[in-house]
Amino acid sequence: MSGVINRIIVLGGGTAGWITAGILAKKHARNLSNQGIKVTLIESPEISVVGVGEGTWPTMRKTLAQLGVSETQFMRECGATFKQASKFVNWVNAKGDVYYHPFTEPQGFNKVDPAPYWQSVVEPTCSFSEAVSFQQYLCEQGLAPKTIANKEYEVIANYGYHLDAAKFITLLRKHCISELGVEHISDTVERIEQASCGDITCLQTKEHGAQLADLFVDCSGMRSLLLGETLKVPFVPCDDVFLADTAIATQVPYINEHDPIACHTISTAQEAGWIWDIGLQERRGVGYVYSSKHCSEEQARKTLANYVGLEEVKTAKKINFKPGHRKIFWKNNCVAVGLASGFLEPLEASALMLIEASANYIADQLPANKELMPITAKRFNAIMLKKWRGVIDFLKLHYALSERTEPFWLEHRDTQSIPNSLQELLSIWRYSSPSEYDFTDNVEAFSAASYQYILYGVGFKSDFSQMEHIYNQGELAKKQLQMTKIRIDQLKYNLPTHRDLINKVNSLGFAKL
Amino acid sequence: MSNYVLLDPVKHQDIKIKPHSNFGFSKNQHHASLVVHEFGAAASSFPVVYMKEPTQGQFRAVGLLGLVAGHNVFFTEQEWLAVHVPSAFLRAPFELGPDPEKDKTLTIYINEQSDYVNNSQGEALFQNGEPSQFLHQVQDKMSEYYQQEQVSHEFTQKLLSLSLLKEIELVINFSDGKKTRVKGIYTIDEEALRKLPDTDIVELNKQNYLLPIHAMLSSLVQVNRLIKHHNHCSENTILGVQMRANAGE
Repeated sequence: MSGVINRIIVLGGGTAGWITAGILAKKHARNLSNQGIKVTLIESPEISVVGVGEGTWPTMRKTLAQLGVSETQFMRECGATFKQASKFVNWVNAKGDVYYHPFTEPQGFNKVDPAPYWQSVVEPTCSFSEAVSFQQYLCEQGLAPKTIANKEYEVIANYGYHLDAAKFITLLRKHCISELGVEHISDTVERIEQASCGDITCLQTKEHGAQLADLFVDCSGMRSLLLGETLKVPFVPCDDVFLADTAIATQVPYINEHDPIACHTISTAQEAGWIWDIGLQERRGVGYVYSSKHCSEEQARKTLANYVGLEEVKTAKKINFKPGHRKIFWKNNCVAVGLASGFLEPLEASALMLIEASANYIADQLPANKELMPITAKRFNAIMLKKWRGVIDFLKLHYALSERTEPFWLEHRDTQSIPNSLQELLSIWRYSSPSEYDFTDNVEAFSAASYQYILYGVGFKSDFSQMEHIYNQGELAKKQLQMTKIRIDQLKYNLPTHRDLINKVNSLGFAKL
Repeated sequence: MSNYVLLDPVKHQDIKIKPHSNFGFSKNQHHASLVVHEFGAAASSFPVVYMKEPTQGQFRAVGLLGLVAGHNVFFTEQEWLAVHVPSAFLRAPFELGPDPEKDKTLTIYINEQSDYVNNSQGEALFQNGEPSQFLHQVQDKMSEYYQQEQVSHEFTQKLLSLSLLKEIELVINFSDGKKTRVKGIYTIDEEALRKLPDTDIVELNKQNYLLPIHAMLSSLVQVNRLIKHHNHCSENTILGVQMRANAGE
């Protein structure tokens, strides 16, 4: 039968490549009666892998479970830890201000919006995230989001992971090849051949000849070999929105093997960017994302050294990047996933989330035949563009409301640099809180709850008085805030410390049931 | 109250151990740990299930002694109502614990706070500084228990490796209108058992594991006995219990 998709080639063996190949193979790999699709991953032995981000969203639990990876094995082999939130330090005024973006929605968020009420109930010193969610307390106390008696992927408090990207790739590769039947070709692509319509027909490899396929997934990294270089899809930069273009990364060992491990990513604002601090099992991953226009490499190294408490950082790795994304993500019979589709600073760990979302879409919506592919591509592009714009708006929100006065921060607040979509939302939120009406599409990257955590975290004040007559759920809201406190009292005696749980995962492991 | 300490010929030379009566120490205990050897007998009295031990998360076989936390329905001031007595109860006031002098060796500990422990009634542990006949019996019982624990552990690992356990949820309806959900109870997955390949079944049979597996299955009906006993001694009676296959979170 013509037009049927018989083979998919994924080009690139980084996180994006293996996650996509795994999800595709899990759903479509040839079964015993030889029905299904052959999934092949081609990676060059010569190209080194960029480990994108070490933080994940809670979506990763579902992704791993779906791929059939054991959570215990994953955590042991990837040096992984649990992530319950992002903590933002000095983002408002550089005087030690702190707010959280926890993975758990405000208590009772589906019943009542806490935004108009919380301030009249709690102490003036209590922050929004502290008032509406128990998770900030868990993070501040260094408590884990579950116990060793919970089964794999089961949660008490919603969580994602911090992971060692290089180890993660090793695990995914092994699992995809031996468990999911992904064909693995380690070879260099020398030439890409196209049909007259533009479709890619085959990849000419150095030692494995011509590799033909019906669909090509470009996971070749920032180079975007298939979608960008071959199919000439332009890159849409957003360096007018984001000023950071450089990152230096380093690793910091724990001083003592019993040192607490942070159960959240710590992002600390600096004069020309921000420093990430991610606690893995064996070490912390720390890095400075900054604008080279506002800060020399020497200064950046000094800032990073100062943060980790050293004279200088020697092992710092430098990465240059340009924020932005491809104009479209699926053209002809080629779809890009991961860095090949775009890059944004890792402020909210959106990179892996976008990979998971793209891979799931491709696997779930795979066209039944090639004739349908233009329609699938059009739909995919619309959805992914929306996601990228959502991430851009959300990341920008962190900058747009800062009160810091260094040139980097002032430029970041320049109205010209704030997307219209975000400006509109901010206008609306002057008089009401972020709600589901602002994010009507279920493909939206960040939810109203996330926007509330940032907006009210940085101290934004919506003026609810103009519509006072609609805010009559004070009692219900108060009840939710009380329930948050009760929940904290229940959890603080039952949850182990993060380090303790990691030790138990290594010695005992989670049960499968 | 419990305070287990290493058994010490000097410190404990004068104490005596009272005989078992109605197992009063278990009054507030709604489950008791079991070894696989007693599953058959235990199933004649109460549900035999698995639960997870909270600090290590390991599966542990238990007999359910009540449906309300902290309430053992088989305890009465007069007598123990069940036909079977969990072997764990018969070990009281002794337990096994690590030997501080020898690595990876277990030795006997005694609960000094136990009601069994006194200076006047029952059996002495030491005579003239030497272990008494009674203490020798205790030692034999403890070493037998240690063997049984090992076998029970292997049995549990077998159930897990064959995916024969499943989680169930008990939904308990009380006469005051309240509903309680009890999670974290695991029993044999009958369907998985039926689908086991012949070779696995033969192996289970050779290891003498089929009896305890079937004992667990048939013991579930004893939930009705728990309800009956509960309703005899509580005002807030149980109207019914639904047992559901747990659908995850």
